[in-house]
Amino acid sequence: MEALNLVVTRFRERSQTQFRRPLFVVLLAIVSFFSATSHLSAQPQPIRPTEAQVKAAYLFNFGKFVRWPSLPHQHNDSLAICVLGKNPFGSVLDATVEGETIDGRSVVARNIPTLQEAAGCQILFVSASEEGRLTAVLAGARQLRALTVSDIPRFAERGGMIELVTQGERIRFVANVSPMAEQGITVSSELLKVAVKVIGKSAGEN
Amino acid sequence: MRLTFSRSISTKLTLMNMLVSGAALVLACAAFFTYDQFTFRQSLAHTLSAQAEIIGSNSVSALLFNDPLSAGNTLSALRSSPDIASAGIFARDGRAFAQYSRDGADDTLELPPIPAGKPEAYWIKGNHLVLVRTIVFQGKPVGAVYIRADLRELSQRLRRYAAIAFAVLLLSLIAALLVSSLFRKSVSQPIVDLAHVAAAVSQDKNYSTRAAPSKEADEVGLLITAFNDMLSEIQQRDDALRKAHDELEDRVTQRTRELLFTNRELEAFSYSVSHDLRGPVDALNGFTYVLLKEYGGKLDAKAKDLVEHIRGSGRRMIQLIDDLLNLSRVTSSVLRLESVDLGLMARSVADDLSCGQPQRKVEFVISDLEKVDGDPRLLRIVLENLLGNAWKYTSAHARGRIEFGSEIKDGRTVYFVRDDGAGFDPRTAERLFQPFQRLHPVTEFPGNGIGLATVQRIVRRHGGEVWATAQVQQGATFYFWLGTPK
Repeated sequence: MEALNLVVTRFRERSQTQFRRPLFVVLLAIVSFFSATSHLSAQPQPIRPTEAQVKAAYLFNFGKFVRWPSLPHQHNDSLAICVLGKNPFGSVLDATVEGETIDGRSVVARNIPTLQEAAGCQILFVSASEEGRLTAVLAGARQLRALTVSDIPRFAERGGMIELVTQGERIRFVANVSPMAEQGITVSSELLKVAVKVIGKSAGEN
Repeated sequence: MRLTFSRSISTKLTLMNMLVSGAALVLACAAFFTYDQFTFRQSLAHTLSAQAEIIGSNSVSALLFNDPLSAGNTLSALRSSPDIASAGIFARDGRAFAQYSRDGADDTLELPPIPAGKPEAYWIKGNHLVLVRTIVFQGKPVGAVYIRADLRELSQRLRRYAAIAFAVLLLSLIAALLVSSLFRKSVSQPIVDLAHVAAAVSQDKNYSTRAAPSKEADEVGLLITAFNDMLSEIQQRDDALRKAHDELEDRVTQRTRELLFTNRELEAFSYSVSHDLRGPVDALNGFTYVLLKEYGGKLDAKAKDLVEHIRGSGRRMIQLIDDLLNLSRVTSSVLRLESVDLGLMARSVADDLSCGQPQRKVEFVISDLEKVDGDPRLLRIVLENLLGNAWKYTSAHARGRIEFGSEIKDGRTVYFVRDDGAGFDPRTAERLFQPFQRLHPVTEFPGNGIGLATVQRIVRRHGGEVWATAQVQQGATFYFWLGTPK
């Protein structure tokens, strides 16, 4: 008897939803129109982002797929993205990380002229201005246990962790897992999946 | 009376059983199917939701690092779900990022809007179920997964359901047929038997018939018992009625016999009295005649007058006795039936009357009449009496008119004799036909009051009736009709 009641009730609900469908669609259209700016929608294509904007977003997004070894002297309440040398982003990086958090930690962007000021940096972007001193920079960064990122050519092959490369109009990256494994930085396979190329040996391959 | 069973009660019971079980089954199937459709759609939506979730979380990095190829690879894993017709991944700005189509068709997908505040939504569009799920990473929407599955399985289920329902319906109808044939013996058969017995009873009027008593103590058993009791009651009453009827018949026969006997005795008595009375009166008349002839000269005028009075009384007495003898003869003699022309007979009687008193001015109007079956001797006595009475009671008028004819009343021929004579008081009409009853004094109109009594007897012996209507001094009309002579 109860089952029958259930069926009848369901059936009634179903017929009611069918009956109200046109109204529902109209409401949906109105709601989606007003929420179009803040949510996913089939709006016309926005203006293409600039190279600096894309690279800034990548720097920020890398933070979501990387785990750092916990260091006792580091304060873990924020995640710092540091740009070493001449800043190619201008204010774009600041705008990108503004108010953002990763795993509950607020994200901050810092511009550092020398490696001496790099303490507390989790992501270190090596500007093209540092290409001449790259070997020294990479050696110094080893103490920091930071994810090193750069768009300097052959950065990964020379011991950097992530090298941003431009393919046509798209910006992609090459990952070198050897230094990451050495410094105890774990990177998600999800990230490696979308890399152009992964070189070096990860910790699990020894 | 014949009872026809257009559709017997057992057929009706069987039909009822089959209809009830069929209807219940169809309803149940419809309910289950509706429920199944609903739950199937829900479970399909659940499955799609889970798949969308997996695809979404596997496409996060592809979305964030703008790698549609990787997203496409993730989507192509859907090839293992044949239900999914097409799928797609949309970037956060709503742009199509990667897509998959089972049939390889490269149709452009469009992202249906998701209601605000909900991670996913699904719609049934025609033969498809469309599900859209927002990809959330680190608490933020990064894109959306779109999956469109076709509902071919649903229509397959519908067909399978229909086939099963039809088979079960068929089986249950057969089962209902079997069950009702089992019940027929205990439910419908006694009723059918009872109906046959009732039909036989009402047709043959044979109240000694009994319906076979039922072994079961249900309403049908009660009905059969009550029916049998009723038949017993009817039979008893029928017997009692027949007995009473027979007794009555016997009593009537006996009384009739007694009456006939008494009547015959009375008639014999009156005949013999009349006959025996005639002898002395004849003698009296003869001797007074001799007395006047032989000794007339010796008697003075007063004595002669007295003797004349004696003679007159004697003649009247003879007439009276003759009439009485006539009356008893009319009652007892056998009818000799012939075809009689009453009109002709009436003219003959009228001629006799006119010849007897040629000085009177009386007009006879006599119709031509169809012939009628009767005893001509007796019917002549009827006409002689009725026309004679008319002749007699018009004698006080200077001119008279006497009419004899017939008219149709209540489908029978009624004869009438109408005069314009003295008439009589209609209140006394009943006494007219009793013997020796006279409405007028002898001094006014002579007669002995036997004529109409005779008329009535003759008419009754001819199976008819006689009656009269009249007004004082405005004439009288006598009516009679003749039926089947007895």
